[in-house]
Amino acid sequence: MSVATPKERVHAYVVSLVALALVLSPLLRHPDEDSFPLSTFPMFSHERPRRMTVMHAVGVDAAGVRTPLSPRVSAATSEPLQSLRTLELAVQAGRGPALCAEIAARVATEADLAEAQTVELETIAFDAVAYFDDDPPGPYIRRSHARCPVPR
Amino acid sequence: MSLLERLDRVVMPVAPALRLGTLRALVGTYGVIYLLARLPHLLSYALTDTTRFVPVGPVSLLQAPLPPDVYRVLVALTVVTAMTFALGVRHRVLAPLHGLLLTWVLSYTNSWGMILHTDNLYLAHVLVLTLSPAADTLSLDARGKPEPDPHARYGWAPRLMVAIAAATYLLAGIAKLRNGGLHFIEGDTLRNLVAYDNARKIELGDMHSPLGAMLLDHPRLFSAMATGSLLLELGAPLALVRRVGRPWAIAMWGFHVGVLLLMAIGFIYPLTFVAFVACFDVERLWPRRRKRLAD
Repeated sequence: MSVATPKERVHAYVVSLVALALVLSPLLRHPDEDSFPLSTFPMFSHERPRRMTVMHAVGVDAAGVRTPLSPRVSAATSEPLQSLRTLELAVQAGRGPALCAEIAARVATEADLAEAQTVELETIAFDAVAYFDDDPPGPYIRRSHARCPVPR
Repeated sequence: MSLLERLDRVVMPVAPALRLGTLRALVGTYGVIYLLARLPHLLSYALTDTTRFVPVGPVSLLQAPLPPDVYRVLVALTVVTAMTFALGVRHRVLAPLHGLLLTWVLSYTNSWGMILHTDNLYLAHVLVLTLSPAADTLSLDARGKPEPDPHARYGWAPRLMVAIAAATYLLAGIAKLRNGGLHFIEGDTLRNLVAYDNARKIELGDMHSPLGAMLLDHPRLFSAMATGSLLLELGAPLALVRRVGRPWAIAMWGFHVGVLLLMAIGFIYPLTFVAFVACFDVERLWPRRRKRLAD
């Protein structure tokens, strides 16, 4: 007998309807009002101008060469977007210098960052497509939020 | 045939228990490997920094982060119940518990200012399987028991898994139309996105895609890719038609491979293809068991 009992049928229909209603419920929100686990899936949906800005942490050596620091060093996470958000939230909350010092302490323990003398939190703006040209132009804007020495 | 019987054939078609059991085993095995591999990442959210805490989903019930040790225990329980779920141990009790724990832990990891979109479908599939009789075969619960006959009770969950996958991609397509309109298919948005994402990765000290950077000189290619991906997303509900579902699944997998190659963004669940296995007769993975069932 392969016909569902009334109880099985109610269970299957209720779970299916509720699950689909929940998954589709973000349609009632603005696409940018994202959440988890019920998402509007806004990734890749916005028009992107070529000009972009990004906040990041860099290690600066004696010659002034700037090396972007990995998410693990800049925010103790493996996720680059999470590290970006950590930097943004810290700077917005006025905790840029404190975060800078934390990052500098991590830089001091990294063998491949031995040349870095200072850490800087900065926002840069540049043309994202031209960034990959053979001879890319530098950033339009470079704005420093915090600068601190690497304790050696 | 009555209307209800017709509806039943759509919502809960007769299916072998082995199909549902195999889906549980595949999604469950993915979960165990994924959670173990991501353990350092999951545990990195054992934080007390209230300024970074932006709770989402069920975590919105909290005013402040959990004590780190409590969170670590929840992560450990999630991993343990992921194993019992994969093996089919005490499914009726432990599987829903795993669903709740996984929902909580993944929501918690997304409650720190940045929402990622890599785990939504995996979580949804786990929740469906935890609420279905997915351990009636191919499980420790079913040891020594005869293989159940095909039944409608085994058919609704695989259908729902396909429907939810289709719904998530449909939402992504609708978000593109709502935010950017049909301009998306011109390709500039996608091209700028690929450039933006790769440049941002470099500036954030992460791995980027050299292929994506190389293709920026070919704008027409981005128009073709944008049109194809939008069609796949908006056409996702057609995946519920079984014959369409299989090629759609393969094409969608190809889309994720493309995203990986062009932007170094790995949506692991779809990339492993586990996200799409409900579109297929996965019980065919076990020819001997099927033969025994047929005999």
